[in-house]
Amino acid sequence: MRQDEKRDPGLRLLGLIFGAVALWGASYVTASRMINHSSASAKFRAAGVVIGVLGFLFWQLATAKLILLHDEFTRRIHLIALAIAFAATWLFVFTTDLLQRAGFIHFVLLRTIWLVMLATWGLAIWGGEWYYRR
Amino acid sequence: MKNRLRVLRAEQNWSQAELAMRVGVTRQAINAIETGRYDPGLPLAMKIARAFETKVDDIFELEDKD
Repeated sequence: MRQDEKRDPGLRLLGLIFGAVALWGASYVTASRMINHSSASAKFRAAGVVIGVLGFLFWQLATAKLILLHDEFTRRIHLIALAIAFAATWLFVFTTDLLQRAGFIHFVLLRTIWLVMLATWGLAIWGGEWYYRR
Repeated sequence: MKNRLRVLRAEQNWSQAELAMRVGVTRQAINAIETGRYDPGLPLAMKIARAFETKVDDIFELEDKD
């Protein structure tokens, strides 16, 4: 039996998640530096976009794999959390759209939208676990 | 849906963690089922029934509101 087959599957999974988070962080920092380089060529900035997207995609796939490896109860919590995050983000976009058209705000950064989605997703996981496990 | 999980578990003198391990879920899942906050899917219900060597109907019961 090979050495990696002897390792605890949970540890391998944890490694995958930490690796994916680290890769996402590194790719995001790299992409941000590349696309913010004012003197850089379009190809260089496009490469920055690709690096950022691939890092994020890898993190998404790793997270999906982690969720699918859990039991049906945990998957239910994640399903509810994703639905809440989707609804909250939709509400946020809808509200800011109206506020912008009404002249109360100038504009909202797209970065703010995905940060709202990430935050509501995390809060919804915490809330779901609290509801089912109290 | 009502269930007799807590009673059956007590009869076997199993902890929630032990039952969870036998059916391959987390202890929190067993707790959520026992408190009625979560109704398991058919495969999990059948695994639980198999763990107690009984039928699903003997553990889970539909209520009028279901």
